[in-house]
Amino acid sequence: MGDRANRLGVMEYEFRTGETTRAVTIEKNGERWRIAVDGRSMEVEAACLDAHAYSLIVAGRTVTAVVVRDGGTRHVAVDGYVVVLEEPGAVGFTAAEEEIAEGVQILRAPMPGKVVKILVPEGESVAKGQTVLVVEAMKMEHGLGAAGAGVVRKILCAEGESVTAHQPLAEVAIGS
Amino acid sequence: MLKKILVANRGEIACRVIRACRELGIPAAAVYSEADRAALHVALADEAYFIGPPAPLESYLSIEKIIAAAKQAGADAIHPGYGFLSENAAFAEACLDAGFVFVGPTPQTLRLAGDKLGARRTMAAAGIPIIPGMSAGAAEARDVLAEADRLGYPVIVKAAGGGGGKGMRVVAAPRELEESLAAARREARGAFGDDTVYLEKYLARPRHVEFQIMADGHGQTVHLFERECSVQRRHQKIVEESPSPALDADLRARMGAAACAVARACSYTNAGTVEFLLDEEGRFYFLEVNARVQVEHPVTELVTGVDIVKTQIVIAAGGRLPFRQEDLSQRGHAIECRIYAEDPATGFLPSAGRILYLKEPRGPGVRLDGGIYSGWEVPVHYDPILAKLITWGATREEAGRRMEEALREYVILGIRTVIPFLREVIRHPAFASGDTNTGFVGDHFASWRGEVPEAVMEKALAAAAVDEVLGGGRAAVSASGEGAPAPSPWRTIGPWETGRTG
Repeated sequence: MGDRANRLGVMEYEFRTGETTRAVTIEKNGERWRIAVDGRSMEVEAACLDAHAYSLIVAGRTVTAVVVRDGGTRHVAVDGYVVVLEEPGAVGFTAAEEEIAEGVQILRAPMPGKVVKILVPEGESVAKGQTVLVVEAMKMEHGLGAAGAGVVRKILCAEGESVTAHQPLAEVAIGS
Repeated sequence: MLKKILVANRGEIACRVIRACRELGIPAAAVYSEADRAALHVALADEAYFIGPPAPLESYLSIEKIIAAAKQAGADAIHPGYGFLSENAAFAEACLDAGFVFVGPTPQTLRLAGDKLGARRTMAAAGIPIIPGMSAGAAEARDVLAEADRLGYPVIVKAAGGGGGKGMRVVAAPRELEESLAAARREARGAFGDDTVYLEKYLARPRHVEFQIMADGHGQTVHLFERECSVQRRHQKIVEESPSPALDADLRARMGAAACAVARACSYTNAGTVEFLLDEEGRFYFLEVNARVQVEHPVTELVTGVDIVKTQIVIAAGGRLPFRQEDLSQRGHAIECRIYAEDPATGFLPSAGRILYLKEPRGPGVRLDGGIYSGWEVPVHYDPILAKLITWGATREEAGRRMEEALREYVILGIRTVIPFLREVIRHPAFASGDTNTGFVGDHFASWRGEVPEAVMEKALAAAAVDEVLGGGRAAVSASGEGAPAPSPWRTIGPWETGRTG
């Protein structure tokens, strides 16, 4: 956790959302809470509706919010939106199925599922955008493609294998 | 009447059919795979029978196992729901051979209607307009290239045995043909157990308008008007409504008559759907017959007042349709949103996992057909549909406002869903004015990433902070059960400690 008590009663938390980290402080102020998001302060009345749902009143306006924790992740529902907050330091993945470091692209499973087809075997070259392998989940197929022309350096899975989300499935050496 | 019905399906449609059975006083028996022991349809049914491993081919798509379960249950009828074996003629035949009533059309009708190619030939012969395309299954890619050139790109690859967008690929250029054919074949084999595919000319941006039909075994065929299903992603409907904003009384009457003609041309009995594509000039083309209860049947139920699933059972038991064409009318307007476990911000990738929190909307004119509950793990093996949210209003505008509010109230946490996306679809000026076609999502939402407004983000962060101090003493919900909940600093500084449990 990247939060700390900087003085008695004022709690400070940090949450990561996408690329940005947001700081929130909260302290008791009589029957209310004084909450500041990145330094902007608001007075909040809070009531628990159940173990995860809160009714908040902020300057007379009501906000119903649900907060569920899943390890280092907070799933928050508010106003029909869903916000996912991560504790700083938690390992997160972006939505992209590819990442490239030092010219090597790692193709990861975008979701839990099954490898249905390996289209390009290890050692063969690929064109930019060419599908290397196909993953199926919930009866839909999803092709994972090369980010640039190169060579499939490693295949890390087998056809028919069940895979978990973000599991590395293949490595493509780009530009080789 | 029937004595016991085996429901050969899962998810929300199994729940819908079980409710209809119970209303009619007929015991309902569920079937379940290893992945579905804790599924809602099992809990809702009167009886439940295990049918095997999670893979559909070894459970919900296994004719042998379904028939064995029906025998074990002592059922006298089988309702197939939609998807899985619902349009499989061999399955319907196996049901009849084993002495069960099949709640659906005859095997002969299924063979004709379910074979998209055969249906095209029959309808053309009956004088119904069809989309230009192949009249036989596609062979290997090089043989199909000539046909695609003749039709002109883009063309669409379709599964002859399919529907619901599975095994379907749009091909824009010759070089994509081979891989698209292969992918469509694999999907079709997995979903329908038949990998025959064919080509049709791809019509850009038509409206998708379908007619609900019902026919009994005593020669009566009626239509229950239309559903507009133009808002689609991945060739699969996501928002449906009735009436269609695109039809006037004259076009409605002509399309309704054509739908009944289609039904008669394939000696249709029970409930079905005749799908048409409608172009901007008001010309309509027969697309296919969906020989089953349709996902979007509730919009028709709300507008006509007919319970389609109960009527299916009445007809299957040998009864007559309890209404004639002239008894039917459209009252008000209904909209359905399909609640899929998918992330619209990443091209609608499926999102399986545990539902950590569920709050379903309420209010006037709100109906929810669901198959999920809080704490349930959504399996990766099946279609990602979780539930359907349907609203009714006296006008289209009222139904739309009710939908917008219901979506705002609807909370599903733990997995990604299309709820925030759907709310923006309903609010979109083009949807509000009824200006929808099958290109709607691509035209208006291609770059949609689900950006959260800063004001909402601040409320979310404030709520998270409140949860740290008020919820810190509670056990954290963890999907995997791995790892202890992160200690809240609140619990370590005595004076502010609240709600400590351990």
